[in-house]
Formats: sequence, C-alpha cells, structure tokens
Amino acid sequence: SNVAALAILGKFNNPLWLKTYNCEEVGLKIQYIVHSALDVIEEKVKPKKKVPSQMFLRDLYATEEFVVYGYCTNTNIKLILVLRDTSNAREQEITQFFQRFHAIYVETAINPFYDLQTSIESPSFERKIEERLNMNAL
Amino acid sequence: MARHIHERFVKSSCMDYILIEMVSLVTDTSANDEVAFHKLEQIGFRVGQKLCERYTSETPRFQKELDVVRYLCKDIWNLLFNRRINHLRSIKKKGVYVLQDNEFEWLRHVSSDSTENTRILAEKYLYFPCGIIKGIMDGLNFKCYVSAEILTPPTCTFTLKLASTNLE
Repeated sequence: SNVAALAILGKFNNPLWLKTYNCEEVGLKIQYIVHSALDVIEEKVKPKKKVPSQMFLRDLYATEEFVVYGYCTNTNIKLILVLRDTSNAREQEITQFFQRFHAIYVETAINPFYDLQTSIESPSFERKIEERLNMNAL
Repeated sequence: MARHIHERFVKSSCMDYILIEMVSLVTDTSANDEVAFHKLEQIGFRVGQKLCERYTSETPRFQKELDVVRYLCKDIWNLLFNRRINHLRSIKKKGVYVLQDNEFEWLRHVSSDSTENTRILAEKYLYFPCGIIKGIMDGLNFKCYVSAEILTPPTCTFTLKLASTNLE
C-alpha cells in the first residue's frame, strides 16, 4: 500500500508508537519527517490563535516523495500518517482512516494495564492497525 | 426498555458495592485521612484520565476553559451518573468553579441526617470522584485541585481550583 509510516505521539510530544512500511530509507529519515510534522501541528493548535474545531488537521507538509497528515485529539495525542506521493487517496478517506486510528488508540488507552503516555506494545493493537490498513486502500 | 433499566440497576449497584469496599480497604490500610485521600484520589485520577481519552474522542475541540467545565457538568455527569450538575458557580478571576449536585449518585444510600459524624465518614466516598474530575481535567490539559464537601447528603459540592499557569 502507499502508507509509508504511522506514528502516535503523546501529550509531551513523546513518541508512543511508530511503524514504517516498505521503507528502504533508514528509519531515521521517517523519524525526522515525523518530528518536523510536530512543529506544524504545534502551529495549528497554538492556543492564542483560533483553535481549529476539528481534530483532523489535514496535510501538514509535503516532501518530494511523501505527504504528511496530522490529527490532534482533545487530549493532545497526535496521530501522524506519512503517505507516499503515489497514493491518490481522497481527503474523506484519510479523515475516515484517522477516525478509526483514533478509535483503535482509545481502545488501547482505556485498558487498565496500560499506563498513559508510555509506549504502546500491545499485540492486539498491532493486529487492529493491520486489519484497518488492509481494509482502507490509502 | 425494561431490560435496559434492570441492567442499569445492576451496574449501579455493582458500582456502589465496589466503591464501599474500596473506601473501606483504603481507609483501613492508610495511616491517616490524608493518605487515604491521596490513594483514593490517585485511583480516581487514573480512571478519569482514561475516561477522558474515551469520551473526548467524540467531541469537537474546546475553545475556552468555561466550555471544558460546562462539558464536565453536562456531558460527563450525564455519562457517569445519568444526570447533570444542578448548579455551577464560578469565580473567574481566581479560576475557581463550584459544582453542586443535589442528588449525587454515590451518596444516595448514605443515611441522611446531618450530624458531623455522618458527614465526616461520608466525605470519604467523595475522594474517588474528586480524583475522576481531576483526571478528566488533566486529560484536557488543565491542572487543577479538586475538593469536595457534603452539605446534606445526598447534596454535595465539588470545588475545582484551576492552576493559574493553564493556557486559556
């Protein structure tokens, strides 16, 4: 598929989960991309400006091969999707994907054995993400 | 519809029992009242944070502090206790909000005379919901201090003191 990477970052911009797909490039490049995306998210969610009423922040920025999409929840959890240029997914599909992604995160978050703001290591979480990616053709 | 009512009754009874046991266990294993408050508040805090993740996933972003408190009074109280906060007072300058519930669910079965003893003993049952409120506010990035007071059971008030370093 055209998904290059998915990431979840916590309240303090700490990485909670990161997964790259079919990436020949070193993971570091993806991490750099995700980090730069954070700056854009901070800009969009800055409290002094008018706060966006939606959680989906649309595309944050684009490099030669990737487009980065962001989504910020009410609890300041950031979900990031790095899509290859070859994808022709519509914005509606991406929004829908983010909503499902958020729901999967919530399922892990409410697990009493999971401490919030720590890295996610649940196999069922991974499985659900896989299923979701297979269902959505991004 | 009848089944739904029965289910709700079973669920709320279970919640009452576990709350009674929890308060009893924590007070027995705590050196004093302060420690018991802290422990019960911590449990509530954790629960509150998780509830926040779950419930705020379906709401739009909040614009102002007052919106968040209103959300707490209406939606959260509705989800947890099937009712709303009866009265909300605020002292905006100091960031203090007082939430009054005239029939707090978890105090409904507490005997309703207002002698000092009953009030002191029953206040322990409010530590856990204080923690829940604190946890929900923390999830939405508002650090606050929550305390509770019983007027005449089951009427009680929760006082939220928001830290002045919070962003507007």
